[in-house]
Amino acid sequence: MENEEKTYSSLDFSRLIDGISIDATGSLMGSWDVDLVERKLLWSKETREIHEVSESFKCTIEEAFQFYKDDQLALLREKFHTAISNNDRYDVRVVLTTQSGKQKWVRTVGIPVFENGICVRVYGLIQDISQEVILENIDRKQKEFFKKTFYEASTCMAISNLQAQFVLVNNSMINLLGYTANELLKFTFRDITHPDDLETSNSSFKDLLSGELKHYNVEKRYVDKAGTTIYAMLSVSVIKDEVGEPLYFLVQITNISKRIEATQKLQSLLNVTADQNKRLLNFAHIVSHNLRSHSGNLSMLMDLIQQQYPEIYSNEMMPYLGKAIGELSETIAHLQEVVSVHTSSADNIESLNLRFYIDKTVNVLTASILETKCNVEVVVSGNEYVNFIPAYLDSILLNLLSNAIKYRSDKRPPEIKIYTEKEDEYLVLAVADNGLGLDLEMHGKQLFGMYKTFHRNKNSRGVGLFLTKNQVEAMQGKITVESKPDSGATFKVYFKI
Amino acid sequence: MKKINLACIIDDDPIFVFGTKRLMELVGFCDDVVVYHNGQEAIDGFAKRINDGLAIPEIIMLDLNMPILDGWCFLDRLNNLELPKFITIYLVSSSIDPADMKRSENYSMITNYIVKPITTDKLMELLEAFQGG
Repeated sequence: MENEEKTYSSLDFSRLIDGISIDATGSLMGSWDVDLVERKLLWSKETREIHEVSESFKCTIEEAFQFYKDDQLALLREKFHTAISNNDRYDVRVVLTTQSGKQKWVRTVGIPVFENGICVRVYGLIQDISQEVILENIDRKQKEFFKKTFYEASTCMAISNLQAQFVLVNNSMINLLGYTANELLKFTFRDITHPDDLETSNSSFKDLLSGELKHYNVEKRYVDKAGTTIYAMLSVSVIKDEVGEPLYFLVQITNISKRIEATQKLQSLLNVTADQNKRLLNFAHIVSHNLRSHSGNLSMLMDLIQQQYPEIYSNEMMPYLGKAIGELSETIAHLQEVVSVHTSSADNIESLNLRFYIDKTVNVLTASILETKCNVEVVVSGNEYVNFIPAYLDSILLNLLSNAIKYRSDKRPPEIKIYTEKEDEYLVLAVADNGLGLDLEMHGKQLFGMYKTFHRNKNSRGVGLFLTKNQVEAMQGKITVESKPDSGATFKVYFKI
Repeated sequence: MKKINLACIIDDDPIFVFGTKRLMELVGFCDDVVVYHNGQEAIDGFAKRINDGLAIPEIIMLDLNMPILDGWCFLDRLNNLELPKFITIYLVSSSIDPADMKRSENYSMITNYIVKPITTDKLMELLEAFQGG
């Protein structure tokens, strides 16, 4: 027995598998030998390992077959039988159930030996190919996976040959273009491209072929079967073989028609708005100009009546008429001021020293500051500059400061503090008073509106803050207010740095 | 004292013309007034006056916005006429558009820019300036 084993182990494998190529890399491979005369079976050490049996394991030929079940057993029996009767070699893949019940794929090769027309022996190899089969399986699943991904992707995908002719198209592409797959496969990309966009990506296409580009994206228009233009984002990548020769193009198309339509709609809305704005401005110009000439005439006629017919002017209604005309002129002047804010050009912007302008304004208001015994504290250094139109800065400072004085509280000595601070890209000028303040919840939204007044102050005109806001905004700034009734207000002007 | 013999109003607004004429009378601005209702009428009138050997106004109150030929065009055309003497020209407009005021600075023949309405005080100032000049 010992002897036989040794003889068997020293069998020449290459002679054994003569004419059959077996790749033994990494997988366990053993040999077996069936002596049909003695009816004895020999397994090599590796064969026993594959069957997961002990080194001392012995079994009969019939018992060896029992490692295979059902159809696997039937297949192997048939092959073995044919080998014995017809002198046919076999090479099959079957599922083996090991001693411990584990199933594994094996490849088994059987070679019959005939003497005087009778088969006396069959020997062969057995190889554990489970790993290989699993890999193959994965490969197949991957192919399946790729196919599914490709066909079912919501992005329109196609594979084209180097002449841009469709080779594969997915469902989304079919849906997008309205052609059937068969129709598309007769087309090149040129056939579905919008005539105006035929040349759009020619150069990129060449760069792709030459290898200069790996992929490219471009916006392009296509035309579907019904003739509708489709706006699309096209991305093309080149698929190469192992040596780097281009094989195919992978083409992906994203339908961006909706986005483009939205953009176009937005643009047209923008145009309408800009147009309306222009007309509005024009309208404001005309209104203010024409109203001015009429009110001018009225004033002139009043002047004439007053001088030439003093007796008429003594009529009690005349002074009211005169007042009405005067107020009309004033209103028109305000309107014109507002209009002019939006038409002043950027040419007039200068770098202005904030402190200088504050001092100037305080100077202008000296009389009312003294009269109201107002304490004005200016905490602004002499080297803060803002880019602004001088007349606007004058007007803004005068408005804020005179408001702070105008809306003082009788309950306490008026105090005004003017200071600056930095906030993001703004230089913030704050004018804080301890005056009447206002209810922002009630009036906050209207505060900067035209002709909005919130105090029973006969000097309130409701133009100042409206104008101020307009001037600040015309210079890309903003204005805010913090206030509570009877506890002062702080106006902050944000100058863009 | 220098006196204005003939003043000229070029304006398409009859109320303005009426009022200005009356105010001129009130302050004794000039002896006579000639009125044109637009730039073209004024150019034609000036040419005819030169041709007929009639007196040319010493002072013009020129409106800007007028039909047919506006104030600016009138000034350009007036340049082409051979005027026998210097004319003091005031732009009189309802426009307080800085662009208009700026534009008027480019015309050396314009003495000043007056914003409507005209008042007796303004006329007196013009008269004094004319006499002073």
